[in-house]
Amino acid sequence: MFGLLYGFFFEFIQEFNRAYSVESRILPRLFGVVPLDNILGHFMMSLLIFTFYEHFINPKTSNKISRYVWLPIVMASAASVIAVMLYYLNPNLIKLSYSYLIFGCIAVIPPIVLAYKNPRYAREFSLMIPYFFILFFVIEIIAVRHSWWIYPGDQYVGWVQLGDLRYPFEELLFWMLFYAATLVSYYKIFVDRD
Amino acid sequence: MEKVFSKKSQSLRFDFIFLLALIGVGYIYSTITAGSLLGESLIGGAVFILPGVAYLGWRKPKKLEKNTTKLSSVWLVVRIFFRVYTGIQ
Repeated sequence: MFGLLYGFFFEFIQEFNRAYSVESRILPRLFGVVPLDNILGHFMMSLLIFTFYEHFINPKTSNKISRYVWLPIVMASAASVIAVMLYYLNPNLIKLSYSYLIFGCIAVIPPIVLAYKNPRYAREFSLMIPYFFILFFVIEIIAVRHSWWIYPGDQYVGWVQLGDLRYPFEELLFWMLFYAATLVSYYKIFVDRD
Repeated sequence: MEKVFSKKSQSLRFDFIFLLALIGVGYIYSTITAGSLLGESLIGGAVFILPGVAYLGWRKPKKLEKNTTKLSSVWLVVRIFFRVYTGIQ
């Protein structure tokens, strides 16, 4: 649900603002904006991150789901519906400068707060980051080289240059470094109950 | 007890190395199939990610054997998704 719902909302805003654009040759673009590939991508990444966390990191297994599990579902659904409505009614309202930076900063608040309040989570996140950094870094190299996705915008805080390849600094920070920790923090806050 | 812990650590270490090796497999696959439909972002990305999910689902550690509602639903989704994925292939 995280992958599908938050993935849709985040990707809808980013694709609309041209923070990046995923080349979709198989599946259609939802509402003419966001490729279905992006949503499935978030879904798959979420699955891997949660199974990785449960397999390697989580010290105890709980058989209970948090009673707040409905909260992120409602929030993400509402955000998605509002974003789509605004897109049809007044697209200027979702036209944002530095959208990747803004939404990235909002997204990483939960893991930072969680790690600050409970250092155990800082340790858990730091154990996950190396693997997912390597995974996402390799995917990024392949993706940029073979134009799986491109960066048509010009509103980034900076660029990372690797030979003839380059990608925005936001990609490095929010996806490669913080994505796994961010998803796990949502999982700990809203789903897992240990 | 120490033996059990040691075995478990070795097992987890193997799992981790295996996952790292899967990244290499994804890289080789994506490089070879670049420019074709099989090298498209969705399929290429799935090759990077789904084998890891399937492997961890198959290798569920002992502490997860007592299926809970949450975990069994995760494994179920993993299995269904993997079945569908292999079916498409």
